[in-house]
Amino acid sequence: MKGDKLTLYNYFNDMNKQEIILTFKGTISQDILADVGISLRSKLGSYNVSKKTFAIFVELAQNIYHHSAEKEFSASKGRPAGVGVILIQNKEDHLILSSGNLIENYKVEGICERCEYINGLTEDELKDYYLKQRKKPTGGVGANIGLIDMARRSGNQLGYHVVKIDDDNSFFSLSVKVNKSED
Amino acid sequence: MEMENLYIEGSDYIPEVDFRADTGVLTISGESYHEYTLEFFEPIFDWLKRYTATSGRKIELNFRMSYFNTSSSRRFLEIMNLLEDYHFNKGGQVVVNWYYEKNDLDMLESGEEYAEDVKLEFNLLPY
Repeated sequence: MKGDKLTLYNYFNDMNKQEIILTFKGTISQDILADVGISLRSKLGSYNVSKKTFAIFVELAQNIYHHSAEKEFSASKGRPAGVGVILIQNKEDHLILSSGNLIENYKVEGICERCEYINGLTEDELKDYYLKQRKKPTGGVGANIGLIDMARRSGNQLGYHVVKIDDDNSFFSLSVKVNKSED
Repeated sequence: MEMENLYIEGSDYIPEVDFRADTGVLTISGESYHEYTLEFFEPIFDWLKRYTATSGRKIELNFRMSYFNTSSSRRFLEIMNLLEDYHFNKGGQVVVNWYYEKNDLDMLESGEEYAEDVKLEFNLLPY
């Protein structure tokens, strides 16, 4: 299967060109997260940058795990877990963490509004919003403050993009930038 | 009735939980990003509810975390709120100690935010 090997080689080269240092597709369990944490600490020198990057990675991965519309049965957990894709690009002066997964079409408007709202807030307003939301009871598994937390740690706008796939689902991607310079 | 201690061994993604019924020193330390946080914290809340069923206890709640996810952050607030209620309404004497690694500004900030949110005596302690 010479063709397959060449394709993988091209894929590998493309990843290098895009400065991708880590990519994962599937369900991302807490065990995998723990390994990623160790790997990030060794790849990124700075204590604060690697902590920030890891924190954002966990929120992205756990968003996929709990909220992706595409589920896979996890044999180790005995229950379904969300599937998605996640990657980290290591650029000259910043990192970009991106995640992508299917979401139900009826959720698209709400999540885009949430991102827009967050992007319009100052640092102090983000903090107030975070504390206010944290006090509110939630019905679901999550804390409902993941997006705000990522925006606060990042200090940059959240990037998001939606592609409608069919009558039920869309592909939602989110990207979060981490500056390497210490503030 | 004598209460038993609660001990949960920590791992990469669950914190060590060391709650001493006899001394009232309750410590949570390490990392916390279990994917089913609600389930992980269930026995902790169960223990706390039984422990605070007896009024007038002296409690020292210690956090010594290096990282926790947003879901754990909500659970921590719920623990503090439970003890806040105990302090003000059931004759408890509760103090919170928030330890942070001295270079970890995010962890200090997290502590400051809990201190703002909770009306208990709250100490921010670098190590």
